[in-house]
Amino acid sequence: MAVIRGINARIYACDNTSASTSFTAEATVANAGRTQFTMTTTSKRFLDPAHLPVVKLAGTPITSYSSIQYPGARFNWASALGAGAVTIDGYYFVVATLAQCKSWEIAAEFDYIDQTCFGDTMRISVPSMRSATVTIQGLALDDATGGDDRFLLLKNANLVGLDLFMDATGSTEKRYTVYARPSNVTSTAAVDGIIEQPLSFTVIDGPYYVAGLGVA
Amino acid sequence: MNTTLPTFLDALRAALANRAGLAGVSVFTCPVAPDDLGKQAIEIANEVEIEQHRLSLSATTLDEEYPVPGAIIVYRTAKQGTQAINSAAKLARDRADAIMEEVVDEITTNDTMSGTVRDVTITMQRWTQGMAPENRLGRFCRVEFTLTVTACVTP
Repeated sequence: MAVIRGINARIYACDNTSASTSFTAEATVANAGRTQFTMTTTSKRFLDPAHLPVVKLAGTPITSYSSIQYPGARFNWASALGAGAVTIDGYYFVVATLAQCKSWEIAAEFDYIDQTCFGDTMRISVPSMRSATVTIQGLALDDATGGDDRFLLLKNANLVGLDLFMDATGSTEKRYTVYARPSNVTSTAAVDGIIEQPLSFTVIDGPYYVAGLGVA
Repeated sequence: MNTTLPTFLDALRAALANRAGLAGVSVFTCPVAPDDLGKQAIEIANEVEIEQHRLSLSATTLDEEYPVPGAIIVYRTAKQGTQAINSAAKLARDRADAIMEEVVDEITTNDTMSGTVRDVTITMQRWTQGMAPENRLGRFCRVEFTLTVTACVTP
């Protein structure tokens, strides 16, 4: 049994405080069944959901996909797509390491509706809405490389893309990728400790599990 | 860098040696034989145990904390008689207190020790008085203290 070491965990993040950047004719890599196509360039995988990407099969625009996964830049088809290279035109957010973080946690849950009736011998619960949250334990940013004050993220409830790596080494990369909005930022200062700023996010797209596609 | 301890000790010694209030006080960053101590001295760091743990994802930076033991030793000679013995003890005690105040002032006003660590503070003092061995009528005052140091290091 392989055990994943926590030291290999990373957090990459982007947010929409900066304008997204356009790209054209980005190549994709297909799964074996040609039902999933993921953008090859690892650094452009947080697509701006404000811009509908243009998907082209052998240079011709198509809209036959069943869904677009904006965080992770993946395009899905219900059945195998025909032959030809799939390329993408669109907009992406620049991703960067989220500095000075100690840990991350992602939690997904279903709400259940109670449909128990008279005569039932066991409670009947039906799953309804799915939700997810991300919590990051982080230190207060204290240098230029750390970027802006984390409270700025909360200012406009920015759209934030997060790559939560369990393992960010190139050959064994594993992560959850989401789009989320910040729901809580806390600052804690204790006289005998380091100033910390934990962050909480509400996931609005995802989480998606991704492995083996490379690290930006 | 493996640990900030060596640079911290260098900076601490330099800072204490520069204080006018410590003129004539020998500052050692190692154990010293009694004969080398003189009449008043500061002896620091005979044994230090460093605790380190990783500080954040995406970095190899370590957070470290270590207690640095130190001691101030002041000897004063005395003649026979209650008054003289008490006077010698008071002189030793007052001088030890004055030296300790210099150390406290340096640590308080220079709490990163010239930028070598994140924080340094005095977390323990133990005062001892006794008879100076080379002169049974003399008295000494010894103030043991602990400096607790925290720092980040990037190996």
